[in-house]
Amino acid sequence: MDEDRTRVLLVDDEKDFVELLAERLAGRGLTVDTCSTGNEALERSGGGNYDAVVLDLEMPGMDGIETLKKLLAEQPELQVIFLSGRGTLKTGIEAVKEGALEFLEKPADISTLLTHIEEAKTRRIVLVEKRMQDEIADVLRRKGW
Amino acid sequence: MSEGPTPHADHDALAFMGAVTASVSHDLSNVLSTIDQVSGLIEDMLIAVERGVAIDPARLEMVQGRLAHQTKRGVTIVRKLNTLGHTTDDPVRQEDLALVFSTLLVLMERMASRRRIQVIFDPEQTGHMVEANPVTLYHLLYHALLLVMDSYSDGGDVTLDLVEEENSTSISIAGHDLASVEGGGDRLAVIHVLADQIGGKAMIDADDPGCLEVVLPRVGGTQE
Repeated sequence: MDEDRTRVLLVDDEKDFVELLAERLAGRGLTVDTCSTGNEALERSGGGNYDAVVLDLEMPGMDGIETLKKLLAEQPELQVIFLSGRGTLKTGIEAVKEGALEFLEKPADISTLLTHIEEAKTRRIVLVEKRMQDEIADVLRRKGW
Repeated sequence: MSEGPTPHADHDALAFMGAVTASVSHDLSNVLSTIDQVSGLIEDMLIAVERGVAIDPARLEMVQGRLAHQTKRGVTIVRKLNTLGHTTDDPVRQEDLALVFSTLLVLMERMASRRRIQVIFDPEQTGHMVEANPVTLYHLLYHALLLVMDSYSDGGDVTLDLVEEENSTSISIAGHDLASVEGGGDRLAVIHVLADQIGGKAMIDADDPGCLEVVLPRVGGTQE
């Protein structure tokens, strides 16, 4: 795997939509995986494999907000962008309050989505680096070095 | 948007229309978003062609197939939504229950899929005619279907059957355990009221606690 390529997980139960979007993002140099439920998203993203998760709000079983909470509980640095056809101001605010980076309404322009994905990648790198620095500082403090 | 019944009968009919249109607008948004992605992919292909890259005919065929599928899906949803909209045209008219359910099942597809519900229904069971206020009839059968869908905690089959009796048509909607549905008693009370408004009745099958039976007077039957 090319380490520099942006890695994205698309989570949406609209099969045609998600496959077409994946193909277009892959054509723009991203590494893209897809799945259709919140549970699959939790399984797939377990290894910290993704720079961003693009998540639908309404899916069979676990909904998008619940999936977001579980994803962030496991990986606080993970960046989640909502992309939903059920956009209301209330749900958008709730998603951002729960830790989503952005809430986009379908149909979203691909260049807008790409901008947010790149923003997600940068933000994740900053957060991971900060966590590593904090961990090193903690070790140094505990060892009294 | 609440999908279940509210405590106010007047508001509830509007809430039913609101819940259905909100759900359907989500479906239509997905249809249009997919068509938008098809358009974007064709644009990507055209840019590739301008750069001298040959297009694989299989990819074009795939794109065309998805476009045709989504267009057909969108047309079906819009037609059924139009049918629901026209339920307000007449205070009373004859309705074929198979067509009513065919309409409701398209409009409630997202509600079913969110619950992982597969509805088993043969739309060829035509000819079961009911004379009623169309809004009340659709409203009643919407709540009946939704109640049975909610009898599953994590998906399952809902089987819908129409049986002609001497003076009535019996609609059987079978799912899991209806006693387990949260707020089931209140929801069943709303179903009773709506059934009563069109001269029918609703009950949980004494032999099958997962089956809701709605009995409606049939056109041509002798009134009791």
